Amino acid sequence: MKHGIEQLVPLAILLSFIGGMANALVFHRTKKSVGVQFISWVCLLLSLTVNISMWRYLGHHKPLEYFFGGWPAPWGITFYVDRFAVAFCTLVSTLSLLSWTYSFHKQPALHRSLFFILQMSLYGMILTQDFFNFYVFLEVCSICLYGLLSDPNEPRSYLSVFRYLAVNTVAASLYLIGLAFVYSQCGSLNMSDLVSLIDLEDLPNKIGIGLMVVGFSIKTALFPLHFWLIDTYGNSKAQNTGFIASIVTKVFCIFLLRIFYSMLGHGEEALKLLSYLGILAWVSIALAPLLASKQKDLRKILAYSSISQIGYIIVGLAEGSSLGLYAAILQIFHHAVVKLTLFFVADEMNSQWGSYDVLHMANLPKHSKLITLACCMALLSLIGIPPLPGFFVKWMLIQSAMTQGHWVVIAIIAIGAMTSLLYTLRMIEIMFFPHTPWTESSSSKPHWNVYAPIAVALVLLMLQVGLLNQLLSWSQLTRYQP
Amino acid sequence: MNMLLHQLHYGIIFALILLGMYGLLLKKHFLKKIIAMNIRQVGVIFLFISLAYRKNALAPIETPGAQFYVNPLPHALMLTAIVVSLATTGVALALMLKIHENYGSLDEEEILEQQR
Repeated sequence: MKHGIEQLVPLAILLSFIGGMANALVFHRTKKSVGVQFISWVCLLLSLTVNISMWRYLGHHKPLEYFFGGWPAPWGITFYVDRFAVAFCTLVSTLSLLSWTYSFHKQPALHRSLFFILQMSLYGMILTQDFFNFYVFLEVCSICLYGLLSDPNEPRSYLSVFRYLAVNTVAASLYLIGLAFVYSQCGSLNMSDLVSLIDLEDLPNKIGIGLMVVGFSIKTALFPLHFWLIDTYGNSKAQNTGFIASIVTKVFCIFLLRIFYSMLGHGEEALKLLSYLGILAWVSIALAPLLASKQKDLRKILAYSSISQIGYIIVGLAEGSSLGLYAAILQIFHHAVVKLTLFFVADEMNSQWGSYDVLHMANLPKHSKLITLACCMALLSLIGIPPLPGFFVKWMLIQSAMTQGHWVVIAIIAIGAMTSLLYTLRMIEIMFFPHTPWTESSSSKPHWNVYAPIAVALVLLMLQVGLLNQLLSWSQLTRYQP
Repeated sequence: MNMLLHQLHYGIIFALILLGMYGLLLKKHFLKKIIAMNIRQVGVIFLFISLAYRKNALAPIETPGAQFYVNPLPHALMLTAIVVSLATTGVALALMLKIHENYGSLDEEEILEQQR
């Protein structure tokens, strides 16, 4: 209460909510309303500023806790902010600013509103300490996704979104049933409370956490449960999918990280559960790129590549070492920026040449040099070429696997790198050694709002290696000691 | 036997949840899927409510002479869960209408035939 800075904690959520409501109010107007656009920009920029200023403040202060309504931990809902959480919030607000710059003029007002509410739920899921509050944000997030992913011009998207809804509600109720087990055993829903209460030796707790983990492996699209992601990403507009693919599935990884690293600590049972998840992730890493190389639609290629890249995050978590944790966190940042860039490229392709066919990439180098460069860098980083962050993820994973003698992980990462060459090199080949003659683009050069976000994403991708130092400073946080 | 009777409701709840999951994932008609989704949500709600129950307990309003109160927290949580399930059902119904508009059918197999 001394500084009042903890009042900043829920501010990003409030700002996104205001943005969402402002856009929802004008949904019936066909012409652009300048006032609402102004409010949206202000909300986005302010929430970025709030997150960055919290980031700076937490560099030399203790983590903040915010009690809703002034009720302390076991009774009320609390938000907990350390540098780690606020880094992810900054990632969300940066990506949403980029995505908004790219797509605000093409979106219908209701989609804009949903975009803001989605952002709100993401902040909530990252910050909340209360398991049930997380569930509510998760459902808000899902409902926004159903709206954003259905595209009126593509009837197939309705089918895939319905299937997504079916799978998603199953995952959410698995989470809720798991929560019932944990609550009946421990009598608390607060994460920092449960640290001392939960004991995985107890069977109901084990079942509860296990059910939650199964729910999250559906939500993060690990291999046998990935089918929904391909259809939903493959049938909707790339301008919306970019933001969703880059951040939404990762928020669930962040939550898994919180459950296993900050709540359950280094227990043997917890590690065993995580290693089961790791096995699923191995399959995703090795197989998804193979399937990606067979697709013609760029969105589907990117969807399969997301599945394999999320596999790396889970493998990093399953390592149970601090190096594995760094790798997982760096991979979250790296993949978010890479996928956003590639989906921007896909959307630009669609708006220039009318479809998402991967062969249109042949036109890119003559169309715009910057976009080609960003696309190449993103692809090379996905393979893991040395100066790019993708390399450091694999490097740290292999180092950690070597010290712990996990030889299968090393083999899987090698296989994953090989198989991801299949689709990345195919795309690069199409770009620079086209089989079909170049077709004149239907419309003119891209506007500033295409160039600007792609350029910023490129810069962010290049600067990410600097995060390594930050990762080391996070390791001093006692809550995330693996 | 008495013990078993006391645990009977859990069996019913899990039957409801499994029934709902089966219907949602394996039934071919979209409306049936939505109904199954609701059955499953009701199962989850029952599970939480039955956790809160204590024998001979009163509603959590201060009453002179009362020994036990039921736990109000799961009830409060389930109020929220009911709202969430309402919203999800609404979205599902809207999607179903859109599917019907575009394909003229609500049977999944028929629609998949059309797509080929």
